[in-house]
Amino acid sequence: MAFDDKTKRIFIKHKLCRFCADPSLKIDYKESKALAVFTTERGKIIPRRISGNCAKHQRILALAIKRARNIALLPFTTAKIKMKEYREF
Amino acid sequence: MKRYETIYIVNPNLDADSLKEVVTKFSDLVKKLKGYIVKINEWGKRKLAYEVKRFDKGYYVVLDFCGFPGVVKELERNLNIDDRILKYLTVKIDEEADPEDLIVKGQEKEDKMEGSRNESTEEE
Repeated sequence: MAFDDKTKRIFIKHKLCRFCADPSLKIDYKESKALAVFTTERGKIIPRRISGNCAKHQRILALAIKRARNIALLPFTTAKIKMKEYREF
Repeated sequence: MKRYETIYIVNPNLDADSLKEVVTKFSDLVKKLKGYIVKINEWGKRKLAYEVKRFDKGYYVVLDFCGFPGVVKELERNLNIDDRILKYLTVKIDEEADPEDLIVKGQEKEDKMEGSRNESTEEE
């Protein structure tokens, strides 16, 4: 029985901050494609409990995404699509 | 001196000459205000993530320069006045920067790049 309990246990993968793992990776607000990985389809910033970033890098990343949004490299929202969907109803 | 980076979006419907004129206008302005230009990087036409002044495309220019805070104030004032500019953003890169050192370094980098390119072609 004890053996069964162990096998049933869900294995939680330890997430590593990819910016800590590879110091050569730099966060730049001008590289919109690299930043887009850390946003959802709606354009929201992915929380660090999901992306696995450390607090330090998440802060830098959030700032970079906000700057990119400001200069129209990344969207604030995809409200336009939302409105279209809304009208169809 | 501080190092700044200003990125601005120009109206994409302008012809090549007036685009050039806009770019030189603002780089000359920085020079006039005793700033040092490190690099001007033109990205060209790009799609905007959202509409800005009813445009869905824009011509991006990145202006990398050194100067005192007054330069940024005057530059942003002028960017605001110009109708051809859709949007701009200034970011401080470095608190302390030596412009002459940066310009020399930039040239060295370019030389190295050219050198490596030549080497690679020779190898081929």
